[in-house]
Amino acid sequence: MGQNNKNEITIALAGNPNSGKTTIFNALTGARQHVGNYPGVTVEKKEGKCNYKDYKIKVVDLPGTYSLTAYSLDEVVARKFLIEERPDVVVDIIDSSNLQRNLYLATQLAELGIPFILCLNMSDIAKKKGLRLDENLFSRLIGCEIVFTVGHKKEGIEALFEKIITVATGESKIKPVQVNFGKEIENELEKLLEIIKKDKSLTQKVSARYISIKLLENDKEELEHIKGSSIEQEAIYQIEESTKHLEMIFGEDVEGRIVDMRYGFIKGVVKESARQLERHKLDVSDKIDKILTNRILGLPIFAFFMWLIFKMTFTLAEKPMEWIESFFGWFGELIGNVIPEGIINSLIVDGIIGGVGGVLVFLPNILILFIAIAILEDSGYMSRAAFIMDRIMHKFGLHGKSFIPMLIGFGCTIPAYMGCRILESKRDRLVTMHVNTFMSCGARLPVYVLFAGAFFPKEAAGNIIFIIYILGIVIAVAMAKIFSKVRFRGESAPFVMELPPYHLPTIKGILIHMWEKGKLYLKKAGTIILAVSIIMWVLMSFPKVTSYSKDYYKLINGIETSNQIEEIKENKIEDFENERATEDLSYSFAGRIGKAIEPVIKPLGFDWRLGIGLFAGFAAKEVIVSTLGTVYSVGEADEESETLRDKLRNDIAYSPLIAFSLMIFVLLYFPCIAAMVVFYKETKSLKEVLFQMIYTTALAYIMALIVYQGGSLLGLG
Amino acid sequence: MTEKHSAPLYMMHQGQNLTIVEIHGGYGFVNRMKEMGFIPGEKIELISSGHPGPVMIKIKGSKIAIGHGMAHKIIVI
Repeated sequence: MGQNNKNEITIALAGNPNSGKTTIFNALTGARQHVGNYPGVTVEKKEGKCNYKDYKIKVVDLPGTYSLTAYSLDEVVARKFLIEERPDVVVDIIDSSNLQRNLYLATQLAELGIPFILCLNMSDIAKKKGLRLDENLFSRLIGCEIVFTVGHKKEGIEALFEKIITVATGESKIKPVQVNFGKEIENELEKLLEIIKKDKSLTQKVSARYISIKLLENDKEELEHIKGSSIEQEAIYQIEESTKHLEMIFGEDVEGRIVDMRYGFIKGVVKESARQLERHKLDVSDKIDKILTNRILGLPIFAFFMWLIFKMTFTLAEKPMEWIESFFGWFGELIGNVIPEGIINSLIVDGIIGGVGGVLVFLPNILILFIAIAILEDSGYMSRAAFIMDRIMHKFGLHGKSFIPMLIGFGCTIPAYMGCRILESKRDRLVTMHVNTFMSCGARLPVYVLFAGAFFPKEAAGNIIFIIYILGIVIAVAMAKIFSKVRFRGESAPFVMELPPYHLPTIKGILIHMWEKGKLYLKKAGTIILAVSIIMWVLMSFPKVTSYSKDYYKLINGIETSNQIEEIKENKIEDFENERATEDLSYSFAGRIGKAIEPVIKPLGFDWRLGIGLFAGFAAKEVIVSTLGTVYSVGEADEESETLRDKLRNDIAYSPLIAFSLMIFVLLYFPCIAAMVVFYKETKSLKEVLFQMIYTTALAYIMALIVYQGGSLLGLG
Repeated sequence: MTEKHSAPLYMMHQGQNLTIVEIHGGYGFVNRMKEMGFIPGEKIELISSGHPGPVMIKIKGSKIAIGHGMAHKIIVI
């Protein structure tokens, strides 16, 4: 605990969800943080370090909680950390415009007997809303040091550091205050206290009073704590007696009464020290909500936003994509000219530049999509989307909150799986995870962009992609309905969610979010995709054909020396070279794999070359594009650098219908390997992972089959 | 004059200022709600009533969305 002359300090940040904990954390630590998991559970733990004056300060960000009752996983984690690790100071971050509800946690910190500071965040907004606080009086009544901050403007951070040092070194002059629960409860607490005190081992980490209160609250974790101690029997007997006695007096359960008393205390403090002036204007957030969450308008507006995002993802990225495309074209040619013709040349130009470059072309799309998601998250609209969608989600056996991970899924399925933790019941979590993959992730976007761009007119391509996304949502919802009827029966958990006030997202914040995710995409391009590109290149280049069906060398030579018109000569040579390249590819390992699965995917309209791409797509979805890039450049005869898009468009084997069928297949089938690893980590169930792999692929097959065969019958082929 | 009657939250009209009378439901649920600030006697404002669908209310200065099922269990006047 806080001692003099100690220059290493551990602090923990606690607070309600949406109190601005993250902004304070960032303001304290800068960018130096590291994200890990709390041991044994999959709740993220953020840690950062910073120096202030002579002190080294370690900052631990606890999960956002309303209280320290062991209700949800987050709360258990926060409480365990406070008790086991005993940070020197807890900084309780409070949304100042929402004092009463946010102070509840503080009363529990006081009971825990841990030194804490109240950090009254977003104090500018509270002031605007008319809150006036007598600082000294408030601080004395609540029994701790207080600081006013405006997290995103970094106001008050210096003062916060000062107070942290004051409290950690034990120099604070403010006496802690405990909530008085009233004569009856206090009497019973006293009796319990006497019993607890007999066993010294119990009170090593927490005060006897804290244990007594928790026991009277019938707290599971604390009952577990006293189990096996020398006073267990005696304590249990006393708890029963006290509970019976108190319930007779109050006519309600003791736990509820204790909660009431804490709020009573808070109300008293706030009444004494704070004044709420009349508000001058209607809350802006309320005005916005009147429109955005309107019962009739809400849904169309939401749909419009979604449509806008996908439209922008496609159109705004057009130019930068062209630049990147031509850069890699130029770069490939440059390298191709420097390195002598042969295997190394082919590996670098066809395998690596063709593969990785093919994926990097889509960086602009991905970044725009991530910007859009970051804006939705930071502005506060995300939780409104959950609100708007709850009615619909509920009908399909999902939870309103399910929509948040599903929206994140448009970016990447991996954080979406992890985002399912916000769902309290296991049933909701599993159903959401099983359908989340149909929320088409950013990695699939390149495939759509490629095929929609190649086979549909420019104006229609954006809409085609939008249709694919909508189809994904429809299928996700339909599968959720089926799951809740067949596999996971039962009610979903009650829906309660706080809707934070709207914020104008800062450009810096958006860019940070975008960059964090964009970096992952680049990293993926440099690692998994690079590796898969090389593997696929090897599979496509070996073994080499030893004897061709025709003697191409002789045939081509024959044409060259003949005296036909130059143009006809060239065409004939090209035909032969293409034929030879195709023979090369089909003789290779990849070609054999593709040929082997061709009979299976033929009914979907796919040939063996698409089969190679889909096979590679198990590793990561972008790889489909890079693999096709390699397929086409290994199997490429002329040196003219046509883009992959043009090559596909000019290939007579494909049609718009096949492209559409392929997009649907890619939308639905097997989420990538990395996602499956995370799925296992989150569920710890091999059965669920296998189920996910198999049913998604089966569904993809059926849907693509219906589309292609149906379309062919209607003459759309 | 008609006297006000208490009724479940989901039956109330948008824009009404209401007071929580009681919360029905299991022990854990009721106390959870209390910890989030839903205490009998507390004033709430119904911002958006949802039948069907979730309701949006304002309590102690913050906006909270509540599922339809839960809106049945919160009795207000």
